[in-house]
Amino acid sequence: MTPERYRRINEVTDEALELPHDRRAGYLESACASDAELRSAVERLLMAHGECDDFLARPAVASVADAFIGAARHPDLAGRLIGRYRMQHRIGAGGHGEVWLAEDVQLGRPVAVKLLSPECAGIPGRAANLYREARMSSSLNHPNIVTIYDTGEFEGIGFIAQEFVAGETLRSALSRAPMALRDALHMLIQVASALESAHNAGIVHCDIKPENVILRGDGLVKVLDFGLAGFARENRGDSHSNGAPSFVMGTLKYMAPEQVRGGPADVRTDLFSFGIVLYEALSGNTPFTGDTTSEIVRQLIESEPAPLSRRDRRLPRRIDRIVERLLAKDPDLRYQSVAEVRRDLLRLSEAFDARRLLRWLAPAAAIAFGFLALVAYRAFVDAPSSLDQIQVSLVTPPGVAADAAISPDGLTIAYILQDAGGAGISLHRPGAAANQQVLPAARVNRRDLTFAPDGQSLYYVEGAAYWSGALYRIALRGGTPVRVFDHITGRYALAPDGRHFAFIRLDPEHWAESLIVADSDGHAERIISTRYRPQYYSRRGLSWAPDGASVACLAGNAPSYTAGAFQLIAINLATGAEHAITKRMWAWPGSVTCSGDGQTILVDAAQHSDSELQLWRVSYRDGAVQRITNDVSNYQRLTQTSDSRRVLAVRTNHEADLWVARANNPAGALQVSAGGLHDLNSALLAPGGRLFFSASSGDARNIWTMNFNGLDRQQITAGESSRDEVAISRDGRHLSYQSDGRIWSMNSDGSRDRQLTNGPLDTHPTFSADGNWILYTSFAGWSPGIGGQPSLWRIPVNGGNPQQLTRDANSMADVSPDGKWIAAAYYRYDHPQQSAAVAIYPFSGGRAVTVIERPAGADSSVFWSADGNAVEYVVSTRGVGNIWRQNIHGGSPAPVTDFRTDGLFFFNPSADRNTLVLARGKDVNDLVLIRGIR
Amino acid sequence: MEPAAEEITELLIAWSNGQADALENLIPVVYEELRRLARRHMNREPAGPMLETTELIHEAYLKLVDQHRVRWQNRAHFFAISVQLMRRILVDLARARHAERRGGGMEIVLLDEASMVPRGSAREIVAVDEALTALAKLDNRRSRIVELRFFGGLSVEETAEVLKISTATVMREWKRAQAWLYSEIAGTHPPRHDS
Repeated sequence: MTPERYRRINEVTDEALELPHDRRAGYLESACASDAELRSAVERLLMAHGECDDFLARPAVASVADAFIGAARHPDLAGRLIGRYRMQHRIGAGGHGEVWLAEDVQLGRPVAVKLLSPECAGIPGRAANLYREARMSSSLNHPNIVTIYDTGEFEGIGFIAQEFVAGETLRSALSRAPMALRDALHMLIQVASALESAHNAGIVHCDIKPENVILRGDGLVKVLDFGLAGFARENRGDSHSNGAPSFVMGTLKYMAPEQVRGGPADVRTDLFSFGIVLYEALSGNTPFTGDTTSEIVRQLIESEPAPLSRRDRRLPRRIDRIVERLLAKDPDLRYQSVAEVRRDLLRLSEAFDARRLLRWLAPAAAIAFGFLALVAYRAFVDAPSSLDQIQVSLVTPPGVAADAAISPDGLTIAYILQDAGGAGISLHRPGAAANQQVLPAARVNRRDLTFAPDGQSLYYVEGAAYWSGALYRIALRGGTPVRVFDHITGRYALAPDGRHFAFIRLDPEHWAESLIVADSDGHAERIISTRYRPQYYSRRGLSWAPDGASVACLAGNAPSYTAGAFQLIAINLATGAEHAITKRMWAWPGSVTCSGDGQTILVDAAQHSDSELQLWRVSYRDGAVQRITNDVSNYQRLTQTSDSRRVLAVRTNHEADLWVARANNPAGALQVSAGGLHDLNSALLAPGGRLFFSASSGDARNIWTMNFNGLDRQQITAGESSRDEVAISRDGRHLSYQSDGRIWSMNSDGSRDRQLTNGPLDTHPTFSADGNWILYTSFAGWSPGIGGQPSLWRIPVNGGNPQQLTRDANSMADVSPDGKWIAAAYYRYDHPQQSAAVAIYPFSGGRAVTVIERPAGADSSVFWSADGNAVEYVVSTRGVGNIWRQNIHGGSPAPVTDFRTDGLFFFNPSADRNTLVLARGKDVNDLVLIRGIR
Repeated sequence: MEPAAEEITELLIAWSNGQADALENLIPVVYEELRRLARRHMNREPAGPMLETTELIHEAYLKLVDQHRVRWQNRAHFFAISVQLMRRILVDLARARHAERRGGGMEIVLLDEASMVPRGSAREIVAVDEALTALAKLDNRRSRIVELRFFGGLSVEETAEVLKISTATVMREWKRAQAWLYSEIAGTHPPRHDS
């Protein structure tokens, strides 16, 4: 409409309004003449003048402000009867209405009555919501869910009568202080239990938050308010069909990203909210905070929460893993059911159940049992502040991907999916609905995925053995893989032009490693440079510099038993000349990747031989080294985008817990530590109930002791190089351990610490029954980077001349309870694939009297059973470890424990052989994307 | 002064200086403050005194804005700015209440807030906002009057003061603007029946 038109319509209308009604038609006839459109506009406006009296009379602000206040504006209902409920006083109010404490006059019991707010009462949808809530909740019958008794209507106000829970909300409890881990776990397990029951009934809560969790005085937890729930069993993509589709439901700080986006909600949405509640319960704050809604949303969508264990060092690392899986942005990466997270929480909490353990330990240990706070051994140095922006996020659910690479443009992640069907290759494109399969699974070993520089095809190695195989290329869209190169050992690197690749080849005859470059079709192979042991190139990673002139890799002196000697070097491809990029040395090498601009190199490597593979950034120009990660995970198989903004890594977490069991009933083992045992190498129970163990003391493993109740913890060695493989004499007076490939002994109070043997590599000490001798494994002719043959030796506990006991390839001796026999691992190199057998020797050594085969998956280590008639060892099947027993006089081996999950890393009998200490746990692989390094 | 006041003051200054994007940040803060205020009133004893709705809004602004720092040219300027802001808030709330699923940009409106607006008025508010935007191009004064009266809840006298016109003019123009908007809305929207 033009301004002229507007003016004209108003002029005519104003004139007409001045006239009595009966003269208006005549006026319009003349004023509008043949302009029918004008006339019609004026007529409409005139009609509006007659009708619009109440229109806009009530300011918009009033409608809204009324609603803000009006939610609470029920008339004073105290004392009034609503249905059969006599109102007593208001106990709460919210957006949905008010909650009153009332008495059910028929049954004489207290009830909570929820009233729909009067402002909303006129809105048909609201009442329907209220009743839907009631219907859903009443279909649930669970001790941790508030029971709905009744619904009804009173003077046009809808209400729900429900169980009155005397207690306080979690919100109110948290307003005082965060919860202790043990209390929080107790609460969370109950909330999870309520959710699990609801989910099984097809009901998603959609609004899990501290306001909806009530803590009763006796510790029982009740979950309230299934008011926003949608039926999960209905079509997943349409689960909002019951609610108002245009609203974001729930409470922002507890919402999952998909909820904020208005996408479909399912059980995993509840899991996210549950994760926020867990986080808040333990830290006092929600992980995504901000002064404004938009800031909270930004964080919710983009940021990873600070690990809880970094906020509070007393918390075990395992909590971080649980939080990470609950708060994954992508629902597919979260726990997929409440049952899973409830199981993990239960495992954590079982360790806290003092009563169970006290009962088990009987009177001797009936002292106040805290918990085995073995949590604190973490060599944490705070990450430099410039790296505060580092964000690590999960790409796939844990345990799925064995190997992966990110494309140069960062838009595609290729990974090897390892499952029961074998190894297949899939593509993950962030934001895409589904992952795309490039190569179906096959029962072969596939590894070392690498994108071609143009991002259009993938290279990988396939072969039966772990370290060698053939190199293949396959287009991203799939098709038949092309065999590029027949024999490749270790890793390889593609040239920036995509026309050559480099790799390190081991020549085992001469113990030599060479850097080799070949054309991308596998021809025109040439050796650039060669190192002979103990000098060598790491085969675990190399990377082509972006200018194409050199290759970076980790190389150095092959490690002695524990010391580190790897350096990052560049090898000039034209001349074969090497130069060190940095003076920094690492103990254990991992992968290497050059940035697209050639300025920096990322390395994963371990600072000490027994510490984790962490991420380091090395400046090519000045060799400056910055540590990027600072945690207890292993980061491997690094790849980065060409702009270096994103780095993909395979992250492995090794988690172990201590369990104890009676030797005559290993199946009744009980967990005694609560996660986060870091770098645990051995643990045993001494007479009198003291525990000795070797674990990280910062830069190295050292030997610690503590009471079985977790108190009086002391570090009894403080070496700069690790002290581990700890053993104890049966009378508990002496300890023995290995350090730097030598056997040491000391009194169990830490006094008289002395080196007994001179190496080059002596390990696995154990005591004779009378405590006069230390038996150990010595590697004859051992040479760094090459190895040697192990055999059993002994030395007097106070020092003296070592004596060789066996000439077979043996290690890991254990002396029988009667002191007359030795059981040890027995290796036969003609069957390298086979498990080491058990050989039994007289205590004085010589020839084996018996050799006992062990089933596939058996560990090398072996122990005598308490009665001396059998040997026991760990057998692992598909990642699950159990203790097996085998009679030395014949018969088949059989498991004596029935663990269904987790690995069994080691077990040790106590000095009196009555108790076993077990280390159980697992290695979990995650694919993680790391942002913010530059 | 509440912690948020400083931020709001900064944003208001920026916005009144013509930085349109400051409004984006201002709105959520004001939502929060309104909610907090409303809650506080809700938590009073049931028999306690209730504020009039417009007083509540004004109280919110007085609390939100550090009066010493924002140099309002005068009371009128304060109202003019506040009411524009209020309009944005109300329309956003109403739109969320009213509209079908919106594709594209992510807008966060919490159910608690949106459900505060009765469905009928929500439709009206959105429709008025649209018609008013069109009217502003044709007749700025009338649109300002409607904005102040309808979205700001200002009285005829306050409106006159803000616009520096007589109360008689406000009344006459208000009536005409009302009729105009009514006819526009009736022409483009179905008759008003709460759904």
